[in-house]
Amino acid sequence: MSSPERYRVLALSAAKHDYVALAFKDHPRFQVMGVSDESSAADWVHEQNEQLAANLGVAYEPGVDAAIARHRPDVAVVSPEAARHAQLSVRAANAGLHVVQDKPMAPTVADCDAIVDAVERAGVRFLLWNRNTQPAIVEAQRAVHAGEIGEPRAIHVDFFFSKDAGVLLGSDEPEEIPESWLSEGELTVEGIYPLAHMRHILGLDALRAFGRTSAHFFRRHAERGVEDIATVTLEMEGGVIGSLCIGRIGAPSHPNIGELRVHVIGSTGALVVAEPRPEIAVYTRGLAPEDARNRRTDEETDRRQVDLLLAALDTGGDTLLTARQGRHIVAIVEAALASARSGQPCKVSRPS
Amino acid sequence: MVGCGRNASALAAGAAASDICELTDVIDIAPDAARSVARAAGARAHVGDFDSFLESGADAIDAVIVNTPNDSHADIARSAIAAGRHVLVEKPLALSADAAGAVHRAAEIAGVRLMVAHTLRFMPANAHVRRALDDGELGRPGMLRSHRWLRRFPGPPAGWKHDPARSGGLAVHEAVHEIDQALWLIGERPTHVQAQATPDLLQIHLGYESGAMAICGIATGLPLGSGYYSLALIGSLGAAYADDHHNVHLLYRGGRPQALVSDQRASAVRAQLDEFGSAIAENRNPSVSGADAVAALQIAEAVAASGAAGRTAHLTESGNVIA
Repeated sequence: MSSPERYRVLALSAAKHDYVALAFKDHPRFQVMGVSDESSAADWVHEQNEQLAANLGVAYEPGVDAAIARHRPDVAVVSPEAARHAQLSVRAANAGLHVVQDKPMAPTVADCDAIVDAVERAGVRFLLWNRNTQPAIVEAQRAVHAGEIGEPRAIHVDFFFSKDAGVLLGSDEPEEIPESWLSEGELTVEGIYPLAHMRHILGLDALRAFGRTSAHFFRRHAERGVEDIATVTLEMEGGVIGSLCIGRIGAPSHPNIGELRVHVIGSTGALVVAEPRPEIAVYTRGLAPEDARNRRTDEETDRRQVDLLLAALDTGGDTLLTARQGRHIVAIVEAALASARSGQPCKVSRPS
Repeated sequence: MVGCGRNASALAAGAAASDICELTDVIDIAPDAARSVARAAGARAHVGDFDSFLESGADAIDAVIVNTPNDSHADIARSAIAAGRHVLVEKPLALSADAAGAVHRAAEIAGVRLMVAHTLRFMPANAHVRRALDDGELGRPGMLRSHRWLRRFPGPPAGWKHDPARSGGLAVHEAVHEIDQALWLIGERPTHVQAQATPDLLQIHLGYESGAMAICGIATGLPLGSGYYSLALIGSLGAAYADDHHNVHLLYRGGRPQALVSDQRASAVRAQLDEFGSAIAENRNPSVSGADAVAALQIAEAVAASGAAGRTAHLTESGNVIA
């Protein structure tokens, strides 16, 4: 069967983020047909969906089945609250749509298994949105696979967001974040990115995880009992050692969005890549020190990911991060969190 | 200085740069090593062991630097202490925490100053990180991440560093640096230790009662280059990054573009000797004490136990390890 001239895209919810759907806007091989969501979604979700629809120049139409019937899309872009990820992705796959889904894949491995099952039964492609198209990660993957450092022995990833999550622990300032805020922990939600980097660069799965988590900095995280920082060490296939440091480390803690650094040690060499290191730093007379933010030059990360999805759709090949790979990442996170509770390393569950 | 092996020239250079310490005598059982280091340092060479040096009359020296293979550190340190000399011992202070504790107690009883060369504390970049912490700029430390990559141990595989019975293995020989660094920067003793080890890699994962955490990686098998070091300390108010010195300490000398890598280690060795000499002169404990070295070795033993068992080691208040 030949590829369509343009793949028709339906955005299913923008409760979590709008940027996944927006990455398809103006792409010559994709056409965003509309935005939809379950009619029973919360009012604030409908408002965000309407905003996304306006940004895309399409209509917002609550009622998922009706929207699918009307637009006959090829691809669903799924970005609701994490708790509804599996529900909407399974529904889209069952309707025969390829699925592009926001992170985390799902709150539990069991939910991920439901997605894997639906996607594989329907024979559709699934892409878990990721950041493996960042230039530093692309370069690390290329160097490792070209054999430039020999056989991989260890991989270490640092992934820090220099953002706040309300006021600090112990502060007597009024809380900035509403009580309705339902964010989960940083490892739980953001762990997909660095763990996907490891998977992408080495092509190896993790077998056991040891984790430490802490609500160390922010009051709202502590109140909700979710982590703002976490460290994870991994025993990977082939005896490779892995580690991850992740956290929401506060707005003043980095001149850019936060440190993303990958260290890979091989049998004949090693590499260090950093993204986003300050790529362009502009200092000028009259600029306050706090305004001297570094600027990034790469604006194409999301576009490259859409291009790779396009190639997978056209050829029937794998996407950059498949449902099974995404499921494995959630299993690592689950093992690390269980380890943090038990104080011992935990096995990473495999699909049955 | 007892022992004129590989590290001796760095120590001699540090002493030559120091305003406080003077290297007067070097001792080694290997005549060529003793004479070569003595000649470069402008010091007297003594061929033989430390006891023979003491017997030959050592009245002029105030202090001893122990720079021998690890399995002789404790014995030589105790001999020097018994002779009433202040002692700077290369890390590890001993091959076990118990043996290190005996040296520490001997120094306290004798009233001499005992310092252990946990040199990472004196690297200029790390000293800045610690100052930022002390000044309150970073707030409460939450996460420490460090990487230290070394070239392969030089020399034939039969050298003492390749023999765990003499070196103590990677946990004792190298990781005491990272462990001491973590104690120094986090400011509390870990309760959980998880380690993963291969012959030339060691990864240490430390958990703390306060919720703080640390991951420190050591690689000893790099085939080329001059090594690599980086550290990040994340606190509640800010973060500090002591980056690879290849990136952050370039010295531009004008004219044609030319960049030189500053030698952090040389600066650290000199600062360490200055601290040792100052502690003696000011009659105070050095900033890296025998007790610090004992604490680092207790945790190194937990690292070794965890790595061997594939389980987390828990440290009790008394220092016992349950893996």
